[in-house]
Amino acid sequence: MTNHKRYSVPIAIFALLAIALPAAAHHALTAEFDPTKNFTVTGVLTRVEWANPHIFVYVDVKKDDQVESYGFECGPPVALNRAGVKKADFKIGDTVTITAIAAKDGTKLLGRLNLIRYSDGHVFVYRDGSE
Amino acid sequence: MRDNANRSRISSVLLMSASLLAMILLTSITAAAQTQKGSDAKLPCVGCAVDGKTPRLPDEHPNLNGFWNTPPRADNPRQVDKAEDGSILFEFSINFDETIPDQLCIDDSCQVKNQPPYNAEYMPKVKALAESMYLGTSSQDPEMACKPNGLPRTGIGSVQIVQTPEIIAVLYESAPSSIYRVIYMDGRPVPDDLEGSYMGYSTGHWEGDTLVVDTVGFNDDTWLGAGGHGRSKYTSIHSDKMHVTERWTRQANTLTVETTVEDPGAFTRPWVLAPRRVQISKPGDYIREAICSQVNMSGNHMVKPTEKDKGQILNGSKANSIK
Repeated sequence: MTNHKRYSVPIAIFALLAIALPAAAHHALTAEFDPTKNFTVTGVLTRVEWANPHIFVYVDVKKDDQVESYGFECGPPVALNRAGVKKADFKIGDTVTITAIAAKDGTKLLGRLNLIRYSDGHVFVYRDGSE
Repeated sequence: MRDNANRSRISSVLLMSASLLAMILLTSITAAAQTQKGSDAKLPCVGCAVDGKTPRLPDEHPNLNGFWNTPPRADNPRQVDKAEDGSILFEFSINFDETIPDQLCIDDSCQVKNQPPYNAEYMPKVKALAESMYLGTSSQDPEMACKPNGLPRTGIGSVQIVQTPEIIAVLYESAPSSIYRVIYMDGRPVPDDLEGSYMGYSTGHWEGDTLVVDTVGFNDDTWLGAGGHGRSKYTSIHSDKMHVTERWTRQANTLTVETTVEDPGAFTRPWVLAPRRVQISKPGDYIREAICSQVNMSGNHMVKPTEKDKGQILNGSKANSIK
């Protein structure tokens, strides 16, 4: 049986609001990402691709003398936009800590976004019911 | 079992959120609940029924104009929680249309449920495709190349309908890109030189208050729907001889589409889909542009299912549209 790791996400004050979101085609997260394996990196958020069907967030992470560029997949821009989440909410240039679900095919610089913690402490948490 | 574990884990996460909420005093709540700006009371409900009566046009036919977009179900919510410090929790749950409550059907035990009735020529190809799938996701699905979903896979969610006496135009927000369909209402014959297209060529007429739409002229570059999305895993290809018949009805603020698919090239008999429904959108909602980029498509890093994976069942729930 697959052990799905429970995230203990330090969430601040959230009001549970039901938001009207479009029904989007969904494909099994677990076809690409392994919910039992997550990883965390810290680096500079350099770019956000606000493109369908998946937003991508890019982070430059220092490793020894190198800089590695990670890409993190998130949800559809239409869904996020309709929920009031904007491209500008992803703070380009900020130093962030990202927790993500690892790619099953071993691609190191790729993950499915779960949490971004910004330098001022606020977070963006993305969860998909298939985790 | 797995699905129970998933269900109880998800509900315990929600319970954890809910009890956090109960414990903590809320200060300000971002009022982005169902509109972009302003409250429901201020914005008009465009195209809505008044006093529960279905709106009608001057010619007495039901008025289908408007943006149709159903909010999530209460028992399978898509939630966004915003906190005062700018933190956002986005819970983007799966919405599946299902003949099987609360889970996807991926093994043979449930594949009799509304499987397209493929003939002897097509069934082996469909089975081969099913073998390549991962819980209903396949890298061979034309949607993975951002090809239009076509009919009947494109449901009735997130559509703008523009209705004139001569045509009814349906603008789809995300299928997977924004795309349109024109339904010709003026009795014209179907052209005899049709090249196959993703959305086909549609003609329509009224039978009382029911809009009957006939669509032919499809190419064969769409799937009926990736198998596993709550239907049989044997749901994929079709021929270019496909003929889709839809019956649209509006009742107050609900639009219902009943779909029958005939395919003399691929089927042994007509395939009747479960009805799909959508609500008129909430005040302030509007159609977005969605342009699919293959670079950002899921499936770029898809792996083959292992034996362990094949036993998994994804949680889903009844929703309004088959995608």
